[in-house]
Amino acid sequence: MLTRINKNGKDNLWSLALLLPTLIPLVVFWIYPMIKTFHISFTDWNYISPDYNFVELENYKNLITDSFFAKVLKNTLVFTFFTVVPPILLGLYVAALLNKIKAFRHFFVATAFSSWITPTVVVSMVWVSIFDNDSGIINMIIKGIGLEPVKWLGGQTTAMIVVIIVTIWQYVGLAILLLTSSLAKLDPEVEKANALDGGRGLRKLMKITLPAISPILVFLFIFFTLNSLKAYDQIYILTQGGPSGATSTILYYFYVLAFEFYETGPASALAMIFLVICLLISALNFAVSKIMFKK
Amino acid sequence: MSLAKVKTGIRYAMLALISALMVFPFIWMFLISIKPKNEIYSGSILPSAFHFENYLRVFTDTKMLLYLWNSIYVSLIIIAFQIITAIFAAYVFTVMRKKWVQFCFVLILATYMLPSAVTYIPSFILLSKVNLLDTHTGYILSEFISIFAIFFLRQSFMQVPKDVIDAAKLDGAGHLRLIFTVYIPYCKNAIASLVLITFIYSYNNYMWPSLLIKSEENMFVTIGLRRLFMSQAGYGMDFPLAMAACAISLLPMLILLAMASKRIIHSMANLYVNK
Repeated sequence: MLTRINKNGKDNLWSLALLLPTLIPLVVFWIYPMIKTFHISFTDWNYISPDYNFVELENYKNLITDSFFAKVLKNTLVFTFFTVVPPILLGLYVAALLNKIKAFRHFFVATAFSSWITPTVVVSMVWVSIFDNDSGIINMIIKGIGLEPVKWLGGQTTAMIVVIIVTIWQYVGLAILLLTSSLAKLDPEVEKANALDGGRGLRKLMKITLPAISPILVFLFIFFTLNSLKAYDQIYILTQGGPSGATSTILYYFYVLAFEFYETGPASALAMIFLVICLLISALNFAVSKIMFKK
Repeated sequence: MSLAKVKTGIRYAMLALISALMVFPFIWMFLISIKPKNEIYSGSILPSAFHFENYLRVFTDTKMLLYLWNSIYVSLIIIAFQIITAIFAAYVFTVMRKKWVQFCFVLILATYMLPSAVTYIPSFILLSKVNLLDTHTGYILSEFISIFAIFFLRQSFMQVPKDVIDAAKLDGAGHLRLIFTVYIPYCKNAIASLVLITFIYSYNNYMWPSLLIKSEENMFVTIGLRRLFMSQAGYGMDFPLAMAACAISLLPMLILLAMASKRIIHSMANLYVNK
């Protein structure tokens, strides 16, 4: 009896000792800051002044009625919508092609995948040069076929299009990698049996292939959605949220409020709204996985 | 020619086209980086001759070497801390069935789902209070643990067969010996993957470090490049210099890919798939 208690106590001590290097930073840099952000979101604190007042829900009310916030939300939705599904479809197409060839497979995956592991800052700088008004290749081609050059990053719609193209280009690399490797893992016996059954082409795709890789499709969908909601690097380099806020998304607006205007209270309220949106998507992910993959 | 051959030909042609689109930005970066500044407006895509002096200018006119050094050494320190803390935590979460341990795990799980941006303002204020803003120490402390690494290692620790562990326990191995002689050797592939991925993530990271690091001698590659890029915005962009700097910034990745491209691709694929 005594030895058991001793062992129990020892195990507790060991667990604590091994967990402390994780728990201390977790509390200092994750849990405390989250609670603090929640707290600040109810104040009018501006980072510099030593004292502040409680303003209750003022920050939230101001945000919700703010027309710029509405614009930012709309931009975020548009950006997320156009950057999630296209790379998955493109990736699926390339993965299907790759699955049918033998030579150069690794080479194709590696070239596609480079886009995903290159820093977004570098990627965005290169694309600024590609879309440059005078020296970029896109306008060179447009001029070459006799059309008027476009001020890509200067127009509200075209700037958003550029940001979306750059993001899709980066995502496609990951989509190709994951979908190729999960298609390669499909059981060839099942495929063969299905082919004998006369299941080919579209029917085979809908009945056999897609259900088999659906966990990866769901994963990519959620992963890209969260990633697009958190997009910042490419927007900062390509457009700085402009022209006139046309490419400002939630996280970019948070950056501007918190670290350019030092409006700490409103920025914290925005961060809390952002947190709720991310939680909703994670919950959706959880629910979808539960329904689709219950065994 | 048979139909099957034509089909294969079309497949290769489509793949070649898509690959060309995927690598085009890298080719464009290289082409611009070897042009003299006035030639980028000439309307011709290929340079008149190879002008590697832009690369020399990156080293003489900018602090790129310093940024590279900062990025690499800080990333290595962060990798060491994140992996060591993750090994210990993953071990406890794998073997200890105690209530409070499981509670800690749920707490970490919950944090993982939240966007890190929510922590930026208080973390920033905290670091400024202890005078660690604009220092590598402050940044390293704020990146001390990786919740993702804990999950990832826990996943692979759970695959260690029970009889291997029991055999070691019969030998009288305590917790530390179990970690170092059973779990780490058994999961060395997973740990190697984690090292690669943590390096890539840390080297590419931009938003949070850019808020902390403001003085030039402390900048990382991504922050330094952005500074180099924006500082010219008013005077007509020096694209050749910027593209040469971008190309140099990709060197560590190129070396990693050349050494272990199969492994990187394999670990990235498993990383996301096995969750």
